[in-house]
Amino acid sequence: MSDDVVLAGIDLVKDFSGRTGLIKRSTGNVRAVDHVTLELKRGRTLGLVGESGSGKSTVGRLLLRLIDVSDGAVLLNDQDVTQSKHRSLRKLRSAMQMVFQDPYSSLNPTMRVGDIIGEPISYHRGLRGTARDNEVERLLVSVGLAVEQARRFPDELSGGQRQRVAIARALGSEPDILVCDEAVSALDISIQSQILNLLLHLQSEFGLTMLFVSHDLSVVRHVSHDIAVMYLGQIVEYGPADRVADQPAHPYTAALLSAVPQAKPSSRRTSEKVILEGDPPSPSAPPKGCPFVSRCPFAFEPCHEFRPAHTPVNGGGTVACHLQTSGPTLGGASLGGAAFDSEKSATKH
Amino acid sequence: MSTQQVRQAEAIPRGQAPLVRVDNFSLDIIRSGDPVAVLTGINLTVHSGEVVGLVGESGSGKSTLAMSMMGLVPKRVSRLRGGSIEIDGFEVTGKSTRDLRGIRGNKVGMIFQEPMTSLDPAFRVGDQIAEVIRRHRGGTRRDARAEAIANLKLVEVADAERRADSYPHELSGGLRQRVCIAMAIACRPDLLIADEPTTALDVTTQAQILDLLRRLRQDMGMAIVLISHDLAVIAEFCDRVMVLYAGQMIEQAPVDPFFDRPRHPYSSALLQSLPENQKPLVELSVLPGAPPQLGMVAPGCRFAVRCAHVVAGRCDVAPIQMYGEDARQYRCIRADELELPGADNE
Amino acid sequence: MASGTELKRKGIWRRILSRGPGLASVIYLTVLIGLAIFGPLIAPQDPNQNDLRAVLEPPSIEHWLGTDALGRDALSRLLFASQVSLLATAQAVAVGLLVGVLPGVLAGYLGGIIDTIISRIADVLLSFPSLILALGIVAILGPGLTNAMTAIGIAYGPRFLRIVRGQILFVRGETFVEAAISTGIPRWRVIWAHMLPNAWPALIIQISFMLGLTLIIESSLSFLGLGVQPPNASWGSMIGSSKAYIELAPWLAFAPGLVIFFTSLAFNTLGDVLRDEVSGGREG
Repeated sequence: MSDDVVLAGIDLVKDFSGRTGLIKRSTGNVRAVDHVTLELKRGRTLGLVGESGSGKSTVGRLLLRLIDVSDGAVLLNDQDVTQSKHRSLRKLRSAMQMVFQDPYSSLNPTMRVGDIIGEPISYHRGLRGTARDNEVERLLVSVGLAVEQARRFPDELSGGQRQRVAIARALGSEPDILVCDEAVSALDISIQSQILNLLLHLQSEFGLTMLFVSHDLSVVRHVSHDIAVMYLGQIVEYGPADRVADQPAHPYTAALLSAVPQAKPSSRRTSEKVILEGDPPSPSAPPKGCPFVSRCPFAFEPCHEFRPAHTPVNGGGTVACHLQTSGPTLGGASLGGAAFDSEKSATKH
Repeated sequence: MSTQQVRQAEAIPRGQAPLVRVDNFSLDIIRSGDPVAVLTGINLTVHSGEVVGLVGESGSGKSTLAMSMMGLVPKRVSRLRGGSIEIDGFEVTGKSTRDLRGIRGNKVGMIFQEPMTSLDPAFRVGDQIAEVIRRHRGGTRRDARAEAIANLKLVEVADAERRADSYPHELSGGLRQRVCIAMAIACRPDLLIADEPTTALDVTTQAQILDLLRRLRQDMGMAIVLISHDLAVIAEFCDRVMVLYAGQMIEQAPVDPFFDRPRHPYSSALLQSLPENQKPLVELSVLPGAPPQLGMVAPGCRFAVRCAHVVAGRCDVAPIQMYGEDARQYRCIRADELELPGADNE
Repeated sequence: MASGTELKRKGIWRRILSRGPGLASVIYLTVLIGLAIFGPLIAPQDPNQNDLRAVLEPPSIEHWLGTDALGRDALSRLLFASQVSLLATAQAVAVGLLVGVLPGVLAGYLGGIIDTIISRIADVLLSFPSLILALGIVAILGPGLTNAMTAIGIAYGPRFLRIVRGQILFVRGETFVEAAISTGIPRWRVIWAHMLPNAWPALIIQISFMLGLTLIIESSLSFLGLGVQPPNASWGSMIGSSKAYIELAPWLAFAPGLVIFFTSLAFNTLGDVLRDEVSGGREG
């Protein structure tokens, strides 16, 4: 493994037992994450994009060891941390921190902002008293808050301010890695752009390595160097952000990109919508072959039978799609919007 | 699609009385005993068959305006400060629930962000749609059920007969929203109010639902008022857009001119802060600060404190009126001096 | 569920005091506790001093509440008994918290087999009525107020345990707890600083109700002679010892009876007001 990989997930699998309700009726296991491998490179941002139920948030939690893997390994700086427990796990966590989606629920309502930010500082860096308070103030300023906010309670702050507090808390242990789980999804547009800027700024200032988990492709595109696309617990495509966004190789990526509404009049006039039919299949009953086979307009025989392996794509990255290797449509070329135009009969228009 | 929309918007006969006429409407919400202005001097017309987008950040009053059109703002927490809302000539303000029964469902349907809030978890969805039909039109249970299934087919629910017997929790978010749409259009209303109908949905599902609404609008000729925080959704779906800020309408325009060349600095700044309009990995041009809290508005332009083009002594003295002609209006005293970038800024 | 902020700030106490029943309860309890603390100083006479020349006297200037069968001043005895009754009540609730909170936290936080074992034991204890359980324990340990109250406290443990377990289970699913864990702070700190404060409101409300209930049970035990032992008195034993003379000197039972009634009412009212304010505070 190359030296610039800070954190890696190797062949991660997570099964949740499907026991629900009072009677503990077993509904079979649900595989939320299905053999996912990904690497976070130093100082870069990996965007992990997918829809609800794709397992993207679970991947973030597996990497942070907030939940235990069912199979596979988590490597932090080439060291296997998959089985770390208690004290050693807590030490690991000072190197990787998380910012959550909803700033209204991710901050303890009974604690003052200063204590929320100060807590990891005292535990990981042993700072107490004035030293701690000074550090809290420095962090507040670095995330664009006033020093006086330390005395406030979370519910006295706006959504944007709360998310800044959450970011300051995450920075307190001087982490190398920041996992942002839908960190701007609950915010208003003008606040969202402020927080995105803050994250970009902090990354260049502290050389942070980031995993940016989101359903919003335009946001992921904006902050990421690389993008991984998840569908039904699997990564279906991975590559440099520009390549994935401009020349998607997987039909799902292409459909996802096409479904994102466009504000620009020029892009609206040129783009034809691809509208996928139906919903993703239930993770408790995934298709046998390719996960996307039930909604893919290009599916052919092997897609129903075999799970496609990741193969390299022109322009960088990999894709897990039979079209890429043996399909009638592509024969190895990238899948642009053009391929969909020729297959419009597959869509609902 | 969008060229088609423009044509349709132009085809609206201007002489005809509008379907919705909101005239100088102002509303207070009672907060711990004190009235707080949520909406101030709203003017808005919607013609038959037209699709109007209401856009704004949280606290802008966009949802309150939509609820007011349905007469859904509870009287004990609100106070009408002035103005009127007419739907097809019927005055909505100050009416009791009983008076409004004729309007809701028959003339106006409504769908919400979270479909679960308008569905009863204890009843099968087919029965819930049939109930709406029977309440408004009477008829037998059997007929109502047949019509409920017909409506489910209309909203493109596959296997409608079987789905009619499902409970809401057995359906996906997209299907639930389809059921809500089926309920809202069961009595073929002239107007559909859609309050963030796709915000809780995945992007591919959002595309499905918007596509469905587009088709229903074409087939049934109903007008739609779409409330959304998502400018791109408005851009793709609507004929006309209205921007609300701190309880005031600050700009209204047909969609394409609005996104090409917004006239209000707030509209422009919003478009500029969309990540898709910027180079990746470069800091976005941002709108500083946050929208004012309810009731805490400046004496002059309500946007002045966040505005990059503010001129002291001009913008912050007296309330700003609307400028421009009927189709294109903006609440900015400097609009004619400014050249503001739109969504296509490259 | 109640959130901890409401108790910590926004003047929950001011809101309670602004409500008639809340204000009345707080004033009553404050005065009562004051009397209990300073009772020995202000008591007009030695509560255990017999005066066989003046037995069963009706209330008078000299003896405001009359005298009992041994000629002891009833007011003085009532003041001393207040201390005994209130301390005993507090003791029982404290023991209850001591045996209930920790297992409740463990059951809620750890879950699984530990939760099952702890919860089953609690269920078994809960299925005995507190008074009967207390009688049983007193029968084994022998009569005496300390034994009785410890017994009641142990009987209460499961109730507190259930509340704490429920609250911890509820809070455990909250994002801010996951966020706290993700920062890498120790587990005890997550429990202490992030989970318990959010369990407090429900616990305080329960404590208030339990104080009212314990007072009644303490009085019942002492009335039966299983609680405080002569010559000391609690409110319950005062009623107990006056029952033989109820026709001759009814005032001897009235005063402690009324005090028990009002104190229990005050604790319960306070609990009600707290519950209303904590849950009501969420809306506004």
